[in-house]
Amino acid sequence: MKNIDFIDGEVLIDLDILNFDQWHENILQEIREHLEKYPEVKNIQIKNPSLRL
Amino acid sequence: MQYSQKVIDHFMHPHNVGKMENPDATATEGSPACGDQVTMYLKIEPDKHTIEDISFLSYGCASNIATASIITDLAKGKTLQEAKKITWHDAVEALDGLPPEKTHCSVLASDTLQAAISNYEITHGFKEVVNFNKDTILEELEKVIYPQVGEDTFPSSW
Repeated sequence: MKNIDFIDGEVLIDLDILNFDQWHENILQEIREHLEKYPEVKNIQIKNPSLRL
Repeated sequence: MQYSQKVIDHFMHPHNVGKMENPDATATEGSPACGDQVTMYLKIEPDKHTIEDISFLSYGCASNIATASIITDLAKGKTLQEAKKITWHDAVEALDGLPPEKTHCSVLASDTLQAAISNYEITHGFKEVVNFNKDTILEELEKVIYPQVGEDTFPSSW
């Protein structure tokens, strides 16, 4: 993970796991499960690194 | 997928299973809608603050049930301070390991134990409710496991 922020109820995560990683979706689901239980979290935005050729 | 004999034993014959009547603290973590769920019940000895009794209910996979079972064994008889140090790493070690892709299942049981202890401390005035902030997010993300290697996706060191 490169960066994380929490602004006005929104969690912003700059994730360092590529979209085509086989566990990418599992990780995203786990992140959401861990954070969505908090009423303070209104939205979760997860960015992934783009593959540059 | 290879499970250790201890995992199989705890899954087939889990220890400390069942709802507790009149617990001093309880916590439920996870969600059956999207995955596993564990509830833990604690009975606390009020003078020494030791875990006199502990039980759990699980809606989960074999690893989840085995981990919850071993976590209750590890916590029983411990002081709250000692039990707060029990992690999913301890549970996995006590089970003689889990397949890496199932390691994340162990986190839910240790989370639930810690949440139950925290609820006890808050309701008995030993701890204040901490306001949600960036540190809370980091603490939660440290529990996310990268399945392929069974290691923290977001280690506490970063």
